[in-house]
Amino acid sequence: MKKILLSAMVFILFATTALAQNLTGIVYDANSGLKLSSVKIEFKDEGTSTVSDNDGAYQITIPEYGGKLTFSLVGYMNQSFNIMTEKTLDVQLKPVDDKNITIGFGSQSKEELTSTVTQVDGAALGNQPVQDLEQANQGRASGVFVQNNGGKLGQGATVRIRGGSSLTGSNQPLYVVDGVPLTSNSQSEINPNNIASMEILKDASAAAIYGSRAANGVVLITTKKGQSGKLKVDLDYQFGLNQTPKKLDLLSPEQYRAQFLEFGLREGLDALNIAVLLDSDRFGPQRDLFEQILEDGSYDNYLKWAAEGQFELDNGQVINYEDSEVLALIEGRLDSNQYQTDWQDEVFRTGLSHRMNLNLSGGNENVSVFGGIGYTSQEGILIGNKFSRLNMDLNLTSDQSKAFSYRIGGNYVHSKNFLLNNDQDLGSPLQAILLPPSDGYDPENAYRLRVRSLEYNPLTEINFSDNLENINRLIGNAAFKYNLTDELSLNLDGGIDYFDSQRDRRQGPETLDGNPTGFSRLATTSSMNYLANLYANYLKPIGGQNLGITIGASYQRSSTDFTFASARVDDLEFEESATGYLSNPIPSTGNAFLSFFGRVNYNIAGKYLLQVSGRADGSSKFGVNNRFGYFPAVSAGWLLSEESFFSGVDAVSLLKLRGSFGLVGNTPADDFIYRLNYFAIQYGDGAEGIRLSNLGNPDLRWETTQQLDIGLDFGFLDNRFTGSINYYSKNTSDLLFPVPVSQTSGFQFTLQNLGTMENSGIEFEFSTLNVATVDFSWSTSLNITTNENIVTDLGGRNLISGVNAFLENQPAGAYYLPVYAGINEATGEAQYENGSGGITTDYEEALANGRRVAGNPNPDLFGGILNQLAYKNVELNFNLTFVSGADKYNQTGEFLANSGILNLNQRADQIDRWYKFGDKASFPVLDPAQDNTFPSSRWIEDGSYLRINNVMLAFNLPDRWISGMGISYGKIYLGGQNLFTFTNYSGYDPDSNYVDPLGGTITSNINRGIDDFTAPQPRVITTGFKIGF
Amino acid sequence: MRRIYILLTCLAVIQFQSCETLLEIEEEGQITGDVLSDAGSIQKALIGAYYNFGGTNDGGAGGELFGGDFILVPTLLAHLPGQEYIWTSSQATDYLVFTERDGNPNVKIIANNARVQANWVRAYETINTVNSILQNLDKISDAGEKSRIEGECLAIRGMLYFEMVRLWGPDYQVGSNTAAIPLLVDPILKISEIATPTLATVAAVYTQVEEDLTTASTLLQALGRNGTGVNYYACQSYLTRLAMHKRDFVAAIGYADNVINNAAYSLMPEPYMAFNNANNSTEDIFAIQQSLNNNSGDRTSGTGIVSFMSSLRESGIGQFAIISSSLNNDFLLNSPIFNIGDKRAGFITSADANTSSGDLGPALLYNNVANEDNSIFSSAKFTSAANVIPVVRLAELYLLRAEAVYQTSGVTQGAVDDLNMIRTRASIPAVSLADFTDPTVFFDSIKLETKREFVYEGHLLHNLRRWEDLIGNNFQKQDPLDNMFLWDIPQSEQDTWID
Repeated sequence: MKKILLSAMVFILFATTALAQNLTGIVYDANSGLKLSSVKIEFKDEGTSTVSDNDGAYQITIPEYGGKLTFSLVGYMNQSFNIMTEKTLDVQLKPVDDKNITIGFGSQSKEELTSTVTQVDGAALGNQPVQDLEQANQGRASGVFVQNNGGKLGQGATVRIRGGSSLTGSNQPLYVVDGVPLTSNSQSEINPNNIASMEILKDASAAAIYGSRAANGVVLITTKKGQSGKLKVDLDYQFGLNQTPKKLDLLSPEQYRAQFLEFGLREGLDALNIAVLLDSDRFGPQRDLFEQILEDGSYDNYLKWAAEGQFELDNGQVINYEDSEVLALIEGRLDSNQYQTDWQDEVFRTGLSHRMNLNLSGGNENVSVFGGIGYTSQEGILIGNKFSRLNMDLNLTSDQSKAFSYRIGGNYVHSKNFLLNNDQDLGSPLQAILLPPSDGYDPENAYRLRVRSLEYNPLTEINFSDNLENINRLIGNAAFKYNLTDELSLNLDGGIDYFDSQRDRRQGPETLDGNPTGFSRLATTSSMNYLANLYANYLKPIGGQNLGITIGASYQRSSTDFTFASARVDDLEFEESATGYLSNPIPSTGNAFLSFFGRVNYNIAGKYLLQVSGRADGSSKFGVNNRFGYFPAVSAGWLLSEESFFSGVDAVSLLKLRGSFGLVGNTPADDFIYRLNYFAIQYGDGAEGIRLSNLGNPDLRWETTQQLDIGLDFGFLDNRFTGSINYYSKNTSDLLFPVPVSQTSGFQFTLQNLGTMENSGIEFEFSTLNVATVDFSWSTSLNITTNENIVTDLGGRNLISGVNAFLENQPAGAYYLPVYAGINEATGEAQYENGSGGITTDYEEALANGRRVAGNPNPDLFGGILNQLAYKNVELNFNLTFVSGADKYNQTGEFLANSGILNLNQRADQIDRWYKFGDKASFPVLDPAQDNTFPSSRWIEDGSYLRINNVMLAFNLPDRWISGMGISYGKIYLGGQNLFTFTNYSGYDPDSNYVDPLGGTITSNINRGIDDFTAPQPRVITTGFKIGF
Repeated sequence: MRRIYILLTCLAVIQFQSCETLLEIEEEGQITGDVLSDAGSIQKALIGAYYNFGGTNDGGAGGELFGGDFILVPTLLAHLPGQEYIWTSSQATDYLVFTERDGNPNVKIIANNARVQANWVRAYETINTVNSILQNLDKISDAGEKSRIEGECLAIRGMLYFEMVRLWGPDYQVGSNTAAIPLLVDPILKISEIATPTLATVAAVYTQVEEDLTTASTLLQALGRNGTGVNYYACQSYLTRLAMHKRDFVAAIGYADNVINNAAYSLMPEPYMAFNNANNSTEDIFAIQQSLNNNSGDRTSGTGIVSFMSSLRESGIGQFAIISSSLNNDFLLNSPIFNIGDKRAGFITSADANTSSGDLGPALLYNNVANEDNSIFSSAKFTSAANVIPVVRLAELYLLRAEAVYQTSGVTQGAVDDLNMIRTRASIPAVSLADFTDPTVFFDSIKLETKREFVYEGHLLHNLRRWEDLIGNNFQKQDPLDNMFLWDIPQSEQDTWID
C-alpha cells in the first residue's frame, strides 16, 4: 500500500514537474510582420499573465493541466490557443479594423460613428490587375454597385451607391482625394497600390457635410503617408496575361453557306436551281430543309418548277437547270464563299500586362515622406487596344511642434490610351463577329472582304486609323493645422485637381469615315479645379461626456476648356490651310461652390452618441432665386454593449444601434442651364452665327434626397465575428427631368424640376475569423446589398430612349418594349403581344399598343465574398462577386441572333429557326425583307452571375531565407482575375453596361444594362513579387 | 488669393449672402443673357436662322427644311415607289412612311414619324429666332442694316410658314378654313413663356405669309440680290408661288414679271449647270449655302438631300434609286416623258466607286453606284454637300408666268416664249402658237415641261395639288389632295397639349 502511495506520489510529482514548464515565443503583426511589444499573454482561468518585451518575445509558465492562452493587444484581434505541452509558440496577431475612420474634416473611431461608413482597406485594392480603381472596388463594400462599362481598356466602370438618385444628373459618387473633391474623374487613375484606405460615406448623416454633391454618396480616398523611422523601400512587379474569357458559338462556314443560300431563295432575287444545289451535296445536313423550303407553296411567287429539269423565273422565263449559265451562277455563288475565317480569332488576342511600383517611406520625428512611382502597361484583349500609365506620388507630413502641423502631397498621372471605336460603331473590332465566316479578307486591298466587299471590316479601321488619348492629371493638396488650445484647432486646406487630355484621331481614306481623303481630328480638354477649406475642430471631454464640434467654410471653383479641330486629310499634323479644316469654338464651362458646414458630436458615457451635421451650399449652377441649398442631417447611436446589462455577456464585444436622417443634394450635370444660352455655329462658307442652346429657367432648383438609415453594428467573441446590418430609404424630390414642351418653342424638352424617386434596401456586412491557429488562419467577409429603385412621380410624363424608359412607378431605365411571343407556326414570323390580350405579327402595332415594362436593368441584390487563408508562409486569397436580378439587353443579339437579318453571321443556335409550315422552332423565319431589327423583349436576358473574381496564391519568403540580405520581407505570387463566371447570360459578359461616350449624362442614366457588341472583361492570369528593404 | 480673403471674411461674419459674388462666374466663349443687343449679335442670330433654314447637320439632326426634306419628302410622295423609284429600306427607315401607299386616304402621315417631328421642331426654332430678332430691331442703329435684317427675318418667316402650311395643311382651294399649324409671331425665351399653341387656319397662314413677304419685299427691294441672303426677288418668287396656289393668276403674273424683267438673273446655258455649284448660279434666286464643313449632311452623317440622292461613294448612299424606264413611260401619270436629245435626261452608265461629283460632266442622271443594275439611276442634281441647294431657280418663274398667263389670257405669244426659254435650254425643239389650236394642249405642255425641269426637286406634289391632277399610273391613281399625303402634327407635340 505504502509502495503504491509512493508510486502515486512520484507519478504526481513527475507529472507536476513535467507540466510546470515554460512556454516561449514571439508575437508578430500578421500584416506587417513587425514584432509586437506589450502584448498581454494570459491564462485567464489561472489568472496568470505576462507581456511581450520590445522584441516581441514572451515567456509564461504553463499551468499544471494546461489551459487556454489568450493573446491580446489594443488594436488587434484576440487570439486564443489551448496549450498542453508546447514549448514554443510564435503568434501572429491580426490588427482589427478599428483604425480611425475618415469622415470628412475629421475622423472618428468605429465605436463613435453614428453614420453609415464603409471602409475598404487599401491593401485589398492594390493587387488586382484592373485598369481603374473603381473596378478594383467591385464586390468589396456593401451598398456599392460597380458595373463595368465594357471590356475595352478605357471604358471604365459605372458606380452606384445605394442606387441612382438622379435621372438627368450624375449618379456617380463624389470622390474626395486627400481632402480634394474631384471634378475630373481622376480617381480612376490613382495608383491603387498607394491608397491607404477608402471610406464610403453612404447615409445622409455622413454625407451631409458634403451637402450638395452628396446624394450619390461620397468616397474619401486617403493616400499613403510616410512613416517616421528609417527608410523603407517597397518594390513590386506584376506580369499578366489577358485573354477573352469566352468565345461565342457562331455559325461555321458551312452553316453560314446554307443560310446564305436560304437567304437568296427567300429573297427570290436569283432563281437558283435548287435541284442542282441538292444534287451537289454541298448542304450536308441542311439538305432536307431546302427541299422543304421548295415544297412550301409560299415561295411560288419567286420560283417554281415548270417541269422536271426546268425552272421558271418570276418574269416567266423558263430555263433548263442544266443550262451552263445557271450552273455557273450557282457555282459562282458557292465558290465565292469558299473562304474560312474565324472572326473572333481575328479580333481577340492575348494581351500582356506589366506593372511595377517602387515606394519609399521614411522620416524623422518632425517630417516624414512617402514617395512612390508606378508604371503600368496593359494590352487589351481586342486588337489595337492598349494603355500605359505612369503614377508619381509624393506626400510630406510634418508635426513641427505641438501647435503646428502640416501635410503637402501630390499625385501625378500620365496615361496614354490606344482607344478603339465605340462599341456600336462598325469600326469596333467586335463588330467583325457579324461578318460571314465563309468570307476572307485581303490585306493588300485595305482588308476588304473578298466576297461581300461592301460590308465594313473592322480590320480596315484598325489598320488604317489612329485613336490615341494622352492624359495628364495632377491632384495636389496642402493642409495646415494650428492647435490654438488642446481642445481647439484651426485648419486650412487647399487643393487642386488638374486634368488635361489630348485626343488624336486619324481615319485613313480606306476607312468608312475617312473616305475619300482621310479624316483627322484633334480634341483637347483641360480642366482646373481648386478649392480652399477653412475649418475649426473643437473637442472637449466634459466629465463622462465628449463634445466635438467642427465648423468651416469651403470654396471650390472648377473650369473646363475644350478645343476641337478637324480636317479632311490623312494626317494628324494638319494646319489651318488643310482641306476641310474646321475649328468651331467650344465655350468653356465652369462652376463654383461656396459652402458653410458644421458638425456637432456629442457622446455621453461612451454609450449614447449624437451627431448633427449640415451644409449650406451655394452654387453658380443656379439662378439667384435658388442659389443656396441647405442640407442638414442628424444621427444617433446607442452602444448597447457598453451598458451594464451587457457586462456579463462576454460573447458580445460590440453592439451598437444607429439611426440617421437628413437631406443631401444633387446639382445638374450641366453648368449655366438656369439661364438663356446660345452657342456658336457656322453657316455655309463659314459665316459666324449663334443658335439657342437652351431657354432660361430661373426657377431651377437643387435635387434633394431625404435619406433615412437604421443600422446595427455587432461584434461577437472578442470581435472574431463582426458585422453590421443597415436599412436605408432614400426619397429624391425635385428631380430634374426633360419635360416635353410644345415644340413651337424650338425645343422638344426643357429641363425642369419635376418628379420623385425612391431607393431602399438592406445592406449586410459580416466578417469572421473562421480559423486561427498557429499555422493556419482563415477569415471570410461577406457583403450583400439589396436595392429597390422606383421612379414614383413624373407628373404623368415619361421619357423613352431606345429600349429603356423613365416611367412612373417603375425602376429608372426599365426596359420598355414590345413583348415577344414566340413564332407563328404557320408563317414563321415573330409574334408580339398586341396590348389587348392577343398577339400580332405586326411589329408596328406591337410598338404602338403592346409595349410594356419587360425587364429591369438595376440589380435586386449584389455583393461579394472575400476569403483570406494563410498556412505558414503560404497565403491564399479568393474573392467572389455576385449580382442578381439585373436584366441585360443583348442588343448584339438584335443582329447576331435575329434569324439572319441582313444575312449577317449568326449565333449557332439560330439554326433552330422556322423553315416550314408547322415548325415548332425556337426562332422565327429568316426574312430577307426585314428592314428593322425589331427591338423587343426577345433580347432581354437575366444578367445574374456569380464570378470568381480574384484569386491570389502567395508565398512569403521565410525570415531565415532573407535575413542578412537587408530584405525585410519578400513575397511571390500567382493570381488571376475574372477566372470563372456562372451565368445564364448568352452574351460575352453579364458584367457590362455599354455607355455611349457621346450620349451625355441622361443617356448613361437611362440606357442601362445594354450589351452592344461590348467586349467582355478580360480573364487575367498574373504572377509577381513584392519585396521590402 | 483674393477669394481666400473674401472667404475668410465670410466665415468671420457668417453672413454668406454677402459672399455671393464668389458665385458670379463666367466662362470664356459662353454666349448668354441679353445677347441680341447690338447689330453684330443680331446678325449672328440671323445667320443662326439661315443655319436652321438650311437644315444644317449639327451632328444629330440635319437635312430638315430646305436642306433636304422640303425636296425629298414631296418627291417620295408624288412618285410611285417600285415603278418610278426604289427606296432601299434598310438605311433610312424614317423615310419609309413616305413611300408607303397603303394608307387610309383620310388619315394623315403618322404623327410619330421622326422626320415629320424633326422638321417641325427645326421650323419653329427658326421662327423663334427670327421672332426674337424682330423684337430687338430697335437695338440696330443703322437704318439700312435695320431694314435689311427686318426684311430677311420676315422673308424667312414667310417662306417657312408657306412651306409648312403646304405640307401640314390642305391645299388652299380645298381647305382654307382648316386649322393647320400654330402661327407664332412672338419669341419664346423662358420656359415659363411656353404655352399650348392654337392652330391657325390655312387662310390665316396665307395672310401672314403674304403680309410678311410683302413687307419684306419693300424692305429688301433696294438691296438687289443681297448677297446669298433672302432678297426681294425671292420674296416675289414666293409670292408668285402663293398666288398660284390661291389661283390669283393676275397677281402671280405681276410678281413673276418683277423677278424676270428687273433682276440680273439669267438661265444657265445648259441645264446641268444649274446644279452642283459652289456658289449661287445666275439662275439661283435663293439657294441654301453649303460648304465641306457646313452642310445639311452627306453619307457620313446620313442626313441631307445629298446623302439620299447621290450614290457616289464620296457623298451619298444612293437611297433614292430611279427606275430608268419611268423617265419615258406614258403608263405613268407623271413621267417626264424625256425625249432623246433632252439635255435634262442626259445620262452616263459608267459611274463606279471612284467616280466623283466633278466626273459626271453634263449628265443629270447616272447609274446608281450602290446598285449593280445599270437600269437603276441616280439623279445628279445633288451630288456634293459642298455645293448650294437651289430653292428658287429662275426657270420656275418662266413656267409659272406662262401658266398664269394661260389661265388668264389663254395661249399667248408671251406664254409660248416663256415655255420656249426652258425648252430651248434643254435642246428640245421650240414650239409655236400654231401648235396649240387646242389651248388645253398648251396647258399640258406647260405641265409636262414643269415636270421635266423640276424632276426630283420636290415641286411635283405641290403642282399636282394645284392642278388637281393625280399621282400614279393608268390603273393605280391617288389624289394628292387626300389627307394621306399630308403631315400630321407630331404626336410628341400633341402630347404636350395637356392643359
